[in-house]
Amino acid sequence: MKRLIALSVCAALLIGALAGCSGGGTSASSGTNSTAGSSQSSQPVTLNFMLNSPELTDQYKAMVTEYKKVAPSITINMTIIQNDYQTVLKSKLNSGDIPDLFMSSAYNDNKVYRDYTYDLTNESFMKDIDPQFLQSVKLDGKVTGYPFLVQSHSFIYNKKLFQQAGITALPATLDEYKSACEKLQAKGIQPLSSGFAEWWVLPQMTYPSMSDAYKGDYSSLFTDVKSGKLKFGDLPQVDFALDLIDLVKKYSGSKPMESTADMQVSDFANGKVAMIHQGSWEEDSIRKINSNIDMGYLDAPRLDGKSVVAVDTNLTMRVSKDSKNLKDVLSFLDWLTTSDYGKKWIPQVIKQISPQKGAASPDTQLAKETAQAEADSSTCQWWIFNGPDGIEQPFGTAFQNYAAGTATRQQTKDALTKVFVDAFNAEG
Amino acid sequence: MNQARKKKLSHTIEFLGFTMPAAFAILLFVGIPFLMCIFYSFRKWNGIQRASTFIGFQNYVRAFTDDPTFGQSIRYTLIYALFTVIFINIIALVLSVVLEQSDAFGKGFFRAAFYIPNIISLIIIGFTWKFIFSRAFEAMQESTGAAMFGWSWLGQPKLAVFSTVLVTVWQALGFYMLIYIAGLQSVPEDVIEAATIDGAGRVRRFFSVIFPLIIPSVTVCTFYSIANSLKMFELIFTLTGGGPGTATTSVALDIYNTAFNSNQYGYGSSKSVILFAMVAVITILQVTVFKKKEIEA
Repeated sequence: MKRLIALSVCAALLIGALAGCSGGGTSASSGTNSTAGSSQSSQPVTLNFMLNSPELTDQYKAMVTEYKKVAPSITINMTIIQNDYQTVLKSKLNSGDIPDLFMSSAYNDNKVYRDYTYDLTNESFMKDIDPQFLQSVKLDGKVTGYPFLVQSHSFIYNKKLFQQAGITALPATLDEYKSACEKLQAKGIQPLSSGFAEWWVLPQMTYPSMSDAYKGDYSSLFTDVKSGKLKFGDLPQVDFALDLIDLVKKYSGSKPMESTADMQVSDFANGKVAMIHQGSWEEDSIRKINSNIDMGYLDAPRLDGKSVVAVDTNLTMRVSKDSKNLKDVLSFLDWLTTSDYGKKWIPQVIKQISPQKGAASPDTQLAKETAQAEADSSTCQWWIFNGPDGIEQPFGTAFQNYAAGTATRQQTKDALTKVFVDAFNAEG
Repeated sequence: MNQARKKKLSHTIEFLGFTMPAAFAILLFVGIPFLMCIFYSFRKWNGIQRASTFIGFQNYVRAFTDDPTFGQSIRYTLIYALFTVIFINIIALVLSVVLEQSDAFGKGFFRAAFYIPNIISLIIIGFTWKFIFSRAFEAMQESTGAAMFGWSWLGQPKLAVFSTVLVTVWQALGFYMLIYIAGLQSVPEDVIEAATIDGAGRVRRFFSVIFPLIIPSVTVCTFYSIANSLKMFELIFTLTGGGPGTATTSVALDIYNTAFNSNQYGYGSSKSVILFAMVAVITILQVTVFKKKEIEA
């Protein structure tokens, strides 16, 4: 009797384990066997989207609800994550469970995901996108993705605090920034919150200030870095960026290395600090804490004396070329571009700038300031993404080591040079 | 004879029946991924594209000769492991001895209090302490003016190393105390009594009688603490993110950064094979040394 019980328990365990595994197996294989066949749009179809930027979750949901009205047979299943987005996407792609539509960065990600992305060059709705914003998604002349949002970043300042400190002329050079910080500090206002605890904030702060490298000819810049003709760390702009880091660190309170993006946002929104380096994507979060704050962009200083705001489309939607429901995904993108709701979704619902031709301007302060910067042509590309893949994190760490005082200026320059050498080697 | 053989056969079936599900699961979720990891460690692959190329030992050569970040992460991991292992084991042993002698209320209450951090996810512990070190300490400094709250616990490279050790010890203590308490309870009363009659004082009794008898617990605790601290990832990922800079980047975190942030999956795999070898060698050495010291009561 005892033995019988023991054996039946074993059997149950074994069957349980096998059942669990076979379940996983079938779902994975159904993904790999997918063929780009056309499905009848009248039949119920489920599209899997994998999206990042969870701050837009409500807006994504609103858009999907709206689409359901137009195409009732189509169900859109969204997975929205931020932390670890890349890791999860990678595992999905490798396991064959490929989402019908996924998001990534533009530029070097065009190459990274080229095995999986559908070529959108000949789709009619792409004609509605401003050609200026197609540069970021082009690879060998082909359009590999759907540019989705125009975003900008630079120093954001609190207009009221600047007034209190008696700063009338907005700073545009490193020296002017320094004197503005001193004026703020004299009034007992902490000038900056650094965000240096985050490896992406620190380099992002330096990109606009380094955008005059090679006078803006980024493709020959990276050709020379790749061939070894130029050591990246030898660029005069790197020295300038390190000066900027010194300045920001000096005026960012007593714990500059502990400041995270969340702290930047809350300290800025609460009027505790006068400036942060962040982007248009944070305006909504800032307003949620303090809806009345009066803010604007400062142009980031540059070695050549010009000062700029970085404006580009980096968030890109990519269509999986192996999707079973390719037609449905394309008609969804068509709707997102040409329908009335689609046209107003980005400017009015997300309240950011749309890359579509003749799109309405959103009614937010930073978007207006971005439009102003574009009109003044004091903008720069997100040029670093023209370089090799996978440099951002080590780039950020090298700057963090400098800011934390664990690496000297020369060591930092050497580390940056090595980051690019390694990344180009890895591309092979 | 036949009867005996039959019995043996059914025993084998029973044995296989019970071990197979677990063995199968381990093979599927640990064994196969490990072999794939070794496979990819000899290849150049970004983790996304469908093609990868064989490059022999280049990844391993690069890890040992041309990667200061990896070197720094090994240095940090060894320092971190050394301090956590020492602090965890000494503090846990002292506390268990003290708790074993305290009254019933103190026993139950403090055992629970020390164990609770252990049942909370390391991710949450990391975020909680990040908040304590930054915002809570800021408020404490404003109200008390004590200088230590003004220090940059996560922003000053050396202090950040200490902070990671501190949080790990606090979190892990309960688990190791549990093992030491079980060990202490298994020490037979009669030997202690005999030692007392022979005139041994408290300290002498502990070092000459109790400690040699609980060496098996010490072996287990050191083994676990060494292996866990060498592989530490979650806590550091959420608490410091490896920063400032690379000051608290553990080998596991460096592997993650290489494979998933720098998109060098093959190179990351070779680093994890190196980490595996490192953990295996250190723990095998430790267990062999400690096993020799074990005695029977």
